[in-house]
Amino acid sequence: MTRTLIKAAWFWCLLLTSGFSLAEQLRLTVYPGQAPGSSLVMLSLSAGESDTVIDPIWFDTTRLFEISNSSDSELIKFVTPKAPWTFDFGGIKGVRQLFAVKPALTTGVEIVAELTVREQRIVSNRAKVARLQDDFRDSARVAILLDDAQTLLTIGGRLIQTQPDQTHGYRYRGFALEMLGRYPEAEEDILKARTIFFENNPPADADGRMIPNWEPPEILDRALRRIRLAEQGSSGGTD
Amino acid sequence: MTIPSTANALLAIPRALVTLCALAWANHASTDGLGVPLQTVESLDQSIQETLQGALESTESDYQEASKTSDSQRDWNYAEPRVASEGVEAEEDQEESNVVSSAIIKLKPDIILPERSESLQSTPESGAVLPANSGDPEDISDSMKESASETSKVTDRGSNRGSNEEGQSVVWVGQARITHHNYGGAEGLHTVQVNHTIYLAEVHRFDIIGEDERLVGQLVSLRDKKGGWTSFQDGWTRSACGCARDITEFTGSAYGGSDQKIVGWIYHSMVEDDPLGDILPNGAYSVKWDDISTDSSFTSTRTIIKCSESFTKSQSILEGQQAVAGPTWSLQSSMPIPMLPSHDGQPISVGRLREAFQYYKSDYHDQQTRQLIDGKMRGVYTQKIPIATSCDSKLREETQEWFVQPAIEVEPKLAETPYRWRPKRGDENNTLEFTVTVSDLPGVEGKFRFTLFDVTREKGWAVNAGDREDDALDLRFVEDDENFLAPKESDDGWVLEANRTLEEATIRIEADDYGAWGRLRCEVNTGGWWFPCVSMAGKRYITIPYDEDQNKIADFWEEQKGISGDATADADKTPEGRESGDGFSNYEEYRGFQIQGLWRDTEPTEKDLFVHNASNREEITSSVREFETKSSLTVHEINEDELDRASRIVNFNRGINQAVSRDQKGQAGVIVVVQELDDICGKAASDPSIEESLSWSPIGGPNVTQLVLVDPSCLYGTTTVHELGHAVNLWHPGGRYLVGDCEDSLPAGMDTPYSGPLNNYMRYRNAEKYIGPDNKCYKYPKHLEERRSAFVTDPTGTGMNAGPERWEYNTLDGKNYPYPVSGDATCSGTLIDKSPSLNQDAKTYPTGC
Ligand SMILES: [Zn+2]
Repeated sequence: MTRTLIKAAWFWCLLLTSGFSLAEQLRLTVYPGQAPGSSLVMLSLSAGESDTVIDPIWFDTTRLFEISNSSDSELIKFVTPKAPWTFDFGGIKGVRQLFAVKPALTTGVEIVAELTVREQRIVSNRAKVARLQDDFRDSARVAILLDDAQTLLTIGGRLIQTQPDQTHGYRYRGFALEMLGRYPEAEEDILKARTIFFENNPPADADGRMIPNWEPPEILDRALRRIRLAEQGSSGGTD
Repeated sequence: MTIPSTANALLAIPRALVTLCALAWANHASTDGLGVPLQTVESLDQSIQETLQGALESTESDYQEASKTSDSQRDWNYAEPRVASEGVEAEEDQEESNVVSSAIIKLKPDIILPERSESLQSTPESGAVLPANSGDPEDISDSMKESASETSKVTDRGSNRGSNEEGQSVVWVGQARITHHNYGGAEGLHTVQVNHTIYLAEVHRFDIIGEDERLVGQLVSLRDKKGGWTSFQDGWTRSACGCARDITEFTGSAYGGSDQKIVGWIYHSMVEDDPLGDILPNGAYSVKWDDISTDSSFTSTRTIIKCSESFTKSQSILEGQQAVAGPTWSLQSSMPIPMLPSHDGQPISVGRLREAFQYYKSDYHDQQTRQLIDGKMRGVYTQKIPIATSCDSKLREETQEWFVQPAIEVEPKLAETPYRWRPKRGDENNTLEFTVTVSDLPGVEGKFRFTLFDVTREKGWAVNAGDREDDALDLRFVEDDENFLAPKESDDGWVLEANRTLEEATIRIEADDYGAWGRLRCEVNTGGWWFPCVSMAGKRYITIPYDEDQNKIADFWEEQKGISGDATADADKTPEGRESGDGFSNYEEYRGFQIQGLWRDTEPTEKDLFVHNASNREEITSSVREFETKSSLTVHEINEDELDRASRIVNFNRGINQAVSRDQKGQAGVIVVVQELDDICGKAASDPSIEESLSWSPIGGPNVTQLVLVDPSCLYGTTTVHELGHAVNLWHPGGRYLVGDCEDSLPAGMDTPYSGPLNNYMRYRNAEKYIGPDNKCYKYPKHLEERRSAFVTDPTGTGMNAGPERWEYNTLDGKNYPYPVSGDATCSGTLIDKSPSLNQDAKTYPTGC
């Protein structure tokens, strides 16, 4: 196994101040994406439930990514497309940073991150790059996270042509159109996706009995609410 | 009586135990020059082997003589030998119901003797193998009690004592071998050999008083202290008739010891002109076996071949050979009066003893009156016994050999395991230490042997940790003492033997498993005999950890957790739900889990759910905590290697004491995965095979719902908590789905999943429309929604779902709308106190769902 250490200058713009309590955890999530696009790596540094204080000092230091089995490591570049952001999930507080990795990481490689906080070395989990069978999902997820409307529009358009009886083409195109502010078209796509969803996923089994854990198309419903709200906002009127 | 000063001086000499035994015995038995002379001390101070060898050689003539006598017998009598023994037993029973407490005689617990010795010629030490029954959880307190009851017969007459002033008891220890030769009706020979370890305690000394209150002698009563026996058979016979004319082969072995009832006596004459000399010569003794544990099965194989079909069977050791049940030496005798349990313990007159005492001569027993030879019992005789049926065998021949000598018992004490100790894997600070002293008397040394047995071999070191192929012993001796050889592994434990004699030994034990359990016994060899250590509870072993009910859970833990008894029980009650239990037995909760790399035990009364956050997201951890708080379940987030990847079973290393609740299947942990779900936010997915067969995912509990999938765009809300609810068998509050009504939306309305308390995690939220009582579609009042924040116990609708039917003004559009919107929850499966289940495989529809 060959391993490549990649140094990424990683500057956190932090809102929190001074000192990090012990028991920090560094978690790494990979969104594989697809070539020629990029992969995304999300690093998340969290601490215990209380007394979480973060010292900006160690975010000035160089972080290290280690990627296994990478043949073209020299060419791999890490870019931070967004500023880091803080979170507090029910007392679990921390900061996150998204890294766009280009070219996209090869399937099967493992990536791990390491950073030193107050002379204490913290190593993340080791994440393996695994792609879904439907490759468009990986690309679409990265495009959504990067607000890449053009890529999403392309993926959606292609899927509507190849798989018109599935929801995803309309959903992705709807999301892309929403990003582009084309709300009426976006709403139309999402409603279409919703119709297809109910056709494909009836909430009862073959005997007409309720499926106990059947869930509604909440992602589409949320998108619809979001789009309609934006539409109202942009038009300045109310429904 | 006191030990002479010369004897005290000898105490310090190494290897003096045999001498000590003999000295004490000499002292103990000598009165008026009638006991064992001091020369015996020197003769005993030789190797036991020589002594035994000599003993057997010296009885050669006995053997021949007895054989001759037996040969001369023509008139066989079959049933007679049982008569006397039954009489004795009946009276013993009577005595036991009449216990009067007294402790004048210092009583000692059992000792263990060399056993399974193939040959009487071997030395006691070299032939010493632990009694096969010594591993049984056998409480010796019964035998102590029996002995104690006999002390009630002891009077204030000082000579009526079974022990000396120093508190050391004399025991008669040795070996006996009985060999049966059964000749086939037609041809062949079947041999059964029974090797006994002899263990007799001196219980009483009765003064025999002649004229003018003269002390004529003493009768010493002997009582079995639970010796043991082993037996094996081999050979073949050809029967004389029937199908059984064919050959029968005999193999197999047996052992026993707990039910033997051995009694005996020794007479010590104390005057030159003993008026009882004609019937009781000095040193006359009798030892008689009432029975050999008839309920002990002789696990033998008896194969009849060449018949229409061959068969094997397990037979009692007595089956087919009832003539002699056990060794009997000396003339079969009635019990001398003072030894009868009904005797009041008072001295007895010569006249009364003579009147009552008589030997019964039995054709099938020793024909001689036996006397101690050099202070020991030894002898050999052979007798021939006819067989009643002619088919199986026409003749049996039985040979008895014995060698028994007095010894002073030592009584090493083995402390119990500290009450609060529990096994912890590889924790040096948790090492158990035991120190055992040979005797309260200084300077007494012995060779120690410690045995760990019945040790668990649990896989790994906790129910979800460690190498699952590893079934090594869970307890071991710490090897760092030069006084001991390296421990030797046995099938179920370890044997640690000293390489020198010591006054005191300290050993240390460590656990390699959090559920480790075993028994520890120790023995000390002094003077060639192994004496068992005795626990505070009077047992021959202790349990590690301290575990009186021996259910393999430390007693303190059970006390602390408020449970007892059945280690396989899985009866967690909290929180209430569909049924009790969580798939983990009490023992498994005690043995504990590795949770994110750290070991911990769990509460056996509180339901535990294990969740693996496969995508390693903080949002999931946060939701799992929220779920734990709101469901009242104890939820543990575990790492990937802390459950079985294929089956998702958490207690994959379960072995003994599995939970019976789920047919020993354990609990499948819930795996939460963040992945693209397209249109829905979350899904509680069942085992793929179930899903495939049904084409949908049923719910039932973590053993049915094993995967919780959450879309990455829905991590922030309550989706994960909702899906975890499904994973423990919680249902949506209503079972009516109005798809297609009110255009494309999934409207709310009565009996729909939108019904009931608004804050219910299991409820749908934010419909676009709802169907009113007039069956018309109305705009859904989203502004009246509440955050989902509870698992509910009451189905009554709240907020817009509450109250009687009415029309209300909607502030959003200024129109009147019908309320309640969706009404009360109708599905009982949504209630947290009724429906949650961690412990079922079944799928049922609760009412109203
Ligand atoms: Zn649901």
